[in-house]
Amino acid sequence: MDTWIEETLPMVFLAVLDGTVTAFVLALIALGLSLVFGVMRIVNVSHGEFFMLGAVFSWFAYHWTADSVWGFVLALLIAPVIVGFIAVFSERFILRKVEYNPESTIVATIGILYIIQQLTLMGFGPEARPVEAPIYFRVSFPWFGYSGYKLLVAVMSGLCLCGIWLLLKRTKLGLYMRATQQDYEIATTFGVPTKKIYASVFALGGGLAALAGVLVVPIRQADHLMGLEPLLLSFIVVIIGGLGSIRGTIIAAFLIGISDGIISVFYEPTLAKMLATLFVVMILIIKPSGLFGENYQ
Amino acid sequence: MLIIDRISSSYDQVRVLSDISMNIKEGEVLGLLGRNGAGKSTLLKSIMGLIKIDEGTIRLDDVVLSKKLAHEIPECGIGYIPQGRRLFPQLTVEENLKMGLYTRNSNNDVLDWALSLFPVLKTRLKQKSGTLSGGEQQMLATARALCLKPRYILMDEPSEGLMPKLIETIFDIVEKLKSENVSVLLVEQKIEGTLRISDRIVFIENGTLKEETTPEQLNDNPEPLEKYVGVKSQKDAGSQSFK
Repeated sequence: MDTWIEETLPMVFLAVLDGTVTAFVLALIALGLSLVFGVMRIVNVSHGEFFMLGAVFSWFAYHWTADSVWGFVLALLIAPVIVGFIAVFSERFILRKVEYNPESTIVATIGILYIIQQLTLMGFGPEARPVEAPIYFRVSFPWFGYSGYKLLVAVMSGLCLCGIWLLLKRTKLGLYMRATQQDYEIATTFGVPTKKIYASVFALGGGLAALAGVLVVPIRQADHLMGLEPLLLSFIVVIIGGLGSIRGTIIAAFLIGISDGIISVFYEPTLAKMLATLFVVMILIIKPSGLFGENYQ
Repeated sequence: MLIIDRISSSYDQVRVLSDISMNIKEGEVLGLLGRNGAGKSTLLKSIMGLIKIDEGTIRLDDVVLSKKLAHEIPECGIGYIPQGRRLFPQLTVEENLKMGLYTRNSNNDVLDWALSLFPVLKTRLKQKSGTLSGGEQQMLATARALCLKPRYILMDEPSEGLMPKLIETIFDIVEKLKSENVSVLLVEQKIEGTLRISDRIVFIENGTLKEETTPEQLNDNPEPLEKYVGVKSQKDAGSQSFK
């Protein structure tokens, strides 16, 4: 029995640690998707491509500066901004043209997905490319050492989430975003430029995904197809947490991230995805608005 | 003066308002009466820019409101209390009021003034507005619009679903606003109260302005009341509403 605990405990700890890192990054990506849906009522199928662009820009920054630290800092500052502009461009010239119609925007964002993906394929190539982590150190635990960069990713993601929380709860822009989410017509009668709010939210969502891409790329490699898995996981998180619910998105990201970590360590990563998808089906049957779906009057 | 000059509006190519002209003077309460579906709410939404007008112009003094974007209209000093309150239910009472304050960068004196009219809201500032009672919600909807310190305020059935005591409070607030030189365009189903506080009354039917009169004239000749809202006289109206 003691031997079993001695063997299992470190694995559980590792799984929870890995799961927590995944959860923080996932929360960052899914929060963008959730905000876009909550405020604009748009299911953004191209969201994963913003994540991929962040990773690809990070690779370019790394090669341009030829320095892992400066490349990382540059990517961290520039990638979310560039992707934010791409998002604003898409919102202005595509989504606004279809008047944010829910069905049309799904088709439109699928189009955006393919355009971004294929342009990246043309400019970046089909192969996966590694990016060196800006710092390398190991944190020693009693049973094993753990990548310090991964912990840094979790901390930075956590700080970003806190920043978004403060933006939404403590600023005028955040208040306008939440008001627009609840009743865009009445928000207009209080001087809220709802179209600009839509553009800001779409840019913010894209920027968050790009930021997550920059943070993740040293852990995995950059390639033009890397946006699909986070897109799927983000949808799972957002549906479980409740579309448009920020608190629900973050809690669901931890639920999925940590369970993914544990199941992946003890069984198979594929099983983790299968169970998560099954969980989504159950949620859709039992509580379609999600665990924390906000009920408006 | 708020001038509505020969405006027409449509919903999905169906004409809802036709050739409507009227004006609201400063410090005046104008009652807008008509049956359900007559176009009263559409007129208010058209003024707020929520429904695009097909023809005509809406002006506030020298400013052409009908050429402005919807979100620019409140900045000119026009507040709107929609039918059914339509608060932001997940925002707190305080946040709902801030929406009004931010519109024209009003200061805390305006907030204090609005809260002095509805003291009960002071104790509910941190509560989500969706959890308030119907009466409190109406008070908040009114206070929220007042927070933008409007020169003109458009009220769409503020007494809907309220108990008589609260209805009186709302009418008292309208009179108080009038005394502070705020103009009110009041759409109401409670005829007696509307006639009591309005300076002028206009009747609307099938999207067309039919008649303009005063409460005093209606006292002498109540025929328009029966014709356009189905009430025989002011006495009959009592506190009843029409359908």
